[in-house]
Amino acid sequence: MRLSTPGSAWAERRPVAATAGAASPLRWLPRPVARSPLALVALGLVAAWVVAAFSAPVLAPHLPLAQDIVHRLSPPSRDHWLGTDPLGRDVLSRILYGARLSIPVGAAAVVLAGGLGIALGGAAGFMGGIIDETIMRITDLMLAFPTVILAMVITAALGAGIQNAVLAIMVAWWPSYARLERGLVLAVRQREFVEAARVLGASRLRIALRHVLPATISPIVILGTLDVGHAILTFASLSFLGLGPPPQIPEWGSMIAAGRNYLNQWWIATFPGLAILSLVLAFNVVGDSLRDLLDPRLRRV
Amino acid sequence: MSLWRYLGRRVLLLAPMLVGITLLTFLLSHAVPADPVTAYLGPQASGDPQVIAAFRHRWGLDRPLPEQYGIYLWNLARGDMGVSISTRQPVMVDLKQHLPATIELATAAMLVSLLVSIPLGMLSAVRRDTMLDQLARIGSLIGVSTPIFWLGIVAIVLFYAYLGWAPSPGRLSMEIPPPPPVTGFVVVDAVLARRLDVAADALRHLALPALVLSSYSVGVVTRMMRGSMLEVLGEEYVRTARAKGLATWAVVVRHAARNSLIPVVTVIGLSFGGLLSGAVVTETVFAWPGLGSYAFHSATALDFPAIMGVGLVVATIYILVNLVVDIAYAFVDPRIRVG
Amino acid sequence: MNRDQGGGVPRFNRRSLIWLLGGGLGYPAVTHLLGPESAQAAAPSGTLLVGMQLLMKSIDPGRTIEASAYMINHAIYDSLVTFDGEDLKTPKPQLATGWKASPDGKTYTFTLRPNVRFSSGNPMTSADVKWSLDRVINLKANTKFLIEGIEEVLAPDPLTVVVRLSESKPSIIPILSSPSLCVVDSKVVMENGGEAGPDAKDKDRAEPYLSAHSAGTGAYTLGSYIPNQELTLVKNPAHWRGAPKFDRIVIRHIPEPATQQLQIARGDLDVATGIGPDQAQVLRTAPGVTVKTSLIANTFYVLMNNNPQIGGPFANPRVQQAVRYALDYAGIMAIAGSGAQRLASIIPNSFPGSLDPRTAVTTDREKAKALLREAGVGEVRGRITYPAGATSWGVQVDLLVQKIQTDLNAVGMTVDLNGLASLTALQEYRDGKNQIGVWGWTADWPDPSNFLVYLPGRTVGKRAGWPADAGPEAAALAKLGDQAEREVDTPKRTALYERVARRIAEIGPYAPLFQPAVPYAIRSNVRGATYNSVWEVDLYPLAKSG
Repeated sequence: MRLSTPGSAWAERRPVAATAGAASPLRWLPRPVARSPLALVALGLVAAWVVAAFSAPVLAPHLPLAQDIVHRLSPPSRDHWLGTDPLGRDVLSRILYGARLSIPVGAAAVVLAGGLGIALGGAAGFMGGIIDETIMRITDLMLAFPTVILAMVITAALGAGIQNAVLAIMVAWWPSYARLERGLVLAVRQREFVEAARVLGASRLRIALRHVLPATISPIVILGTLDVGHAILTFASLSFLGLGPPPQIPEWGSMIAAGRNYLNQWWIATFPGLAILSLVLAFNVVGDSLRDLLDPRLRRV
Repeated sequence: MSLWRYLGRRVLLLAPMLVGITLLTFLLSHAVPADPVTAYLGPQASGDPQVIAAFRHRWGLDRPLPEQYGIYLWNLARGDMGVSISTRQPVMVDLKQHLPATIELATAAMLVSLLVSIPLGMLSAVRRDTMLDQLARIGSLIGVSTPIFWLGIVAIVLFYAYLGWAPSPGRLSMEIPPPPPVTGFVVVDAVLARRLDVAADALRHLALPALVLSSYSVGVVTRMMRGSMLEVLGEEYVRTARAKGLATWAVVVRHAARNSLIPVVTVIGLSFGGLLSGAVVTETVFAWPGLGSYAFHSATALDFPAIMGVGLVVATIYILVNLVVDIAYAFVDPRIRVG
Repeated sequence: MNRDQGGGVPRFNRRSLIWLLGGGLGYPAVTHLLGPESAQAAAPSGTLLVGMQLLMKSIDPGRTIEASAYMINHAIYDSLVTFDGEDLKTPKPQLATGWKASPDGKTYTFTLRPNVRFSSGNPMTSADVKWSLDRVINLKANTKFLIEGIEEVLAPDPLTVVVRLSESKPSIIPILSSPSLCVVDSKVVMENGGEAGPDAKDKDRAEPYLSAHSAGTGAYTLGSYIPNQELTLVKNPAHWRGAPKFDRIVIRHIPEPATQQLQIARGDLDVATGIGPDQAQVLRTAPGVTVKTSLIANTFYVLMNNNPQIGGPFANPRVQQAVRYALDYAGIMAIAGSGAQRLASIIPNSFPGSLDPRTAVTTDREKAKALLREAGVGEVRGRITYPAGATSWGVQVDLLVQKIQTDLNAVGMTVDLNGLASLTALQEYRDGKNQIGVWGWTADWPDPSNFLVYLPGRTVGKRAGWPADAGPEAAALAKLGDQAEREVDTPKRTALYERVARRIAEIGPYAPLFQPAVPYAIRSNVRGATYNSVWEVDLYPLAKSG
């Protein structure tokens, strides 16, 4: 990935302040990120969540499945910083363990959808003809369904669970990646270096894999990063509707659903929601900065 | 190609696409390992083979799958979408009861997002890097990052339970008899029936869910508008106009606004799908009897005719909206060639 | 860049402030402008607002057996017999003023109440009773199990009905109280597609009519019905017991208990029937709200499969016994909520034949572990299948199941949770493929005979892999059950049922848990509210004071 940027946009800005001196860790970061306090905070937040997810077994004061029926539905206290749920489980611990699910699922959904999209969209763009038409018609068909409704039907058919929910998101999202990839491939195909490779006798497959594809990946990666937050939100929505993992597994969406029957015990639904909000917000800000940094042309999207 | 050829081609593709959608939903809804028949009958009856046979025969479930699908398509061509197994009403009637509620909600949410986002985005771009801009940017980021179902729950607890500003979840207060359904939009029907108090009650019930549902699109459209506006403001001709001494607002209105609306039209179309998705959870949280909650109920109840009906309707609306957006896009920006 | 500003310093000017505040204040301003608070605005005093979970698929009495439909139909239709309030032990006359059984118990003669009219104005006669019962017999719908054993219904004269049974079945009297066996206006229903003859199951088309209109003698008539949404009942001024107190009853489907709790606390509901024990706890301290509980004729139990191929280690009687000792009943009762009662057997405490809850199995983890060692089956692994997200009589099944999992884990049995969509879970249960299940059985009619389903070879027994020929003990127990069912003499019946209950507790593949007490809430100015497990709240006697 290129880290260098075309000159004019950044040249107009003031030079980096003296505080980001030679010894500062900030110098490792790209200048726009280092300059924007919001992006720094967001990056820190993502890092903090990732660390929390990794070290949940160490950080969590209680086991996420440990039930303390006597203290069920108790408000935040010294023992339970964020209170307990209807089965007496510690909300804070379940939130920390919930990060171990949400972050990988968000990433996995995007990677899978993107991968499938790149494969099919690339095939459509590169091979043209009937393959192109077929794939495009299928994407049209699938894009005609709002994500959640498609995901609902899939999980209702195949059963609830983490894999099926991720599968549902993948099935719902690959068409948009495919269309994008196809457009990019069509644009790149006309470029000179591709012509050159063909004249030099490279096989079509070689051209596809070594020349066309790499040129199209970077915008998709950028959009993918922006989508991770959205994937986390969608997975939480599916869990909320009961289409995700079973209820004892700590997952933020299903924790909110459980809290919905206990509106007076506000802590059960509020904290998982704040967790989702902070994580997704952080991802979105980081994604924004990444996009601004790597391809200002994409700022419109 | 010309606009008419493009339009014609898209409309021609509509029919096969819809058939494709019915096939997709049929396959998905029948891929379930459970047999809904025994679930519908209750614990005592499902041990009785006579009862099961009678039920299956009544609903045509004892025929082979391809035949069931064929019968469905045949009836569909004559305008009959079958009878819902869980409401015992024709699916058409169910849809007629539920669809307007969702359209009302989605329209209100879209209105909110347009009324808020477009001016906010424009102002944010014009007054770039001011406090307003920073707040608008953070606000929109929060809007696209907040789970709608959680926001709805918080809103109900805060504005209904604690503050009492919002009415109870639902379309109308229970003690008010609904106006005679003409359009299905309660606000409109109430006005048509000259019951302004009912219309006011309906609007009060619509306010909170619409605001919650709009949170995501407000975020998206504001960012879009801001970005697009910034682009335009940076263009040569705008800078020239300002250099010549034209006031900022004159420049904005006459030149920048129209051009920056172009991508916004696309975004409106795209966010419509997001609104329909968001409607499922919003309707669930706010007890709004719309298509979203009907879809959820049918999917979990394995009500095949209902699932297929919902799939068709949703897909049709979505395709039509996309078509309209594409055409509007072509009109607004003559540089764009359709197809 | 904004030329007006010069440097890059952000300026918080008046315009931005107005934008900010406007957004913040706009919302409440708009809602206040649009009208006064509905909570305080009085509902027209003749209207009752009810929140419940409208979960029925149909309100055609011949095709529905769901409790929510029964609550509605009990207000619209009357049956031959009924029960008063919450007493489910003594049947009372309703459309029949009296009944007599023949000495062999196979023929019952009912005398009908004279001068009763349907809401259409048509007089109610024995012809309507016969037609209604024939329809249920011939529809072969999910109501079929109610009329098992009825051979023929005769109407020798306009005020007499004779019911002939194939065998002695004294439970036919409480069965006839079911709203499914109500008396409908045969003329009106026939005019609208109703069929009661032998080919009714193919020819009857009355369901759409009965979903929009009522054809009964009840206190209310059906005003409107939107499935899964809202239903209105309208006063029937000519009702034979005297007109009811409300002009209109509006019943709205509110699936979440917490929403019902919020609404009744704010006065937007008069009656809330779908709250759970935790919501009831909150409402007990809410001003203007009264919380009541009603013991429900339902058994919550753990099912284990006796079939070794399906049950695995859980088919072993010692393991089953270990499960019974491993459960932490105190914790389970905490989840069941206040008012729930521990059960010693599968017959609920409200019925004759039940066993004293003090004799129920108590938690003994050491004994459970010892039993496991005795069983000698090595590592015990299993899975509990249950309907995810389901709430039954106020109890959240998710919570119960997670608690049971923890309890079994504590003595070394590893079970994982298989929460499926309701339909899928029900399917597995009915196919007899549950290895371990947590279910409830609600009495379909108020009589202990209804709980004989747990016997080997009967409905629940079959699902637990316990056929009548499983062994000599099972066969003897099955015979005992048949005997109890036929016994006409009341004290003998009770003694027989107690023996049956004790035997099932000893050798049955079940762990009976508790009998739930459903909480329900009413505004404190509502009078006459009662709740039972057949038709929930009886709407006729309700009135508002003040």
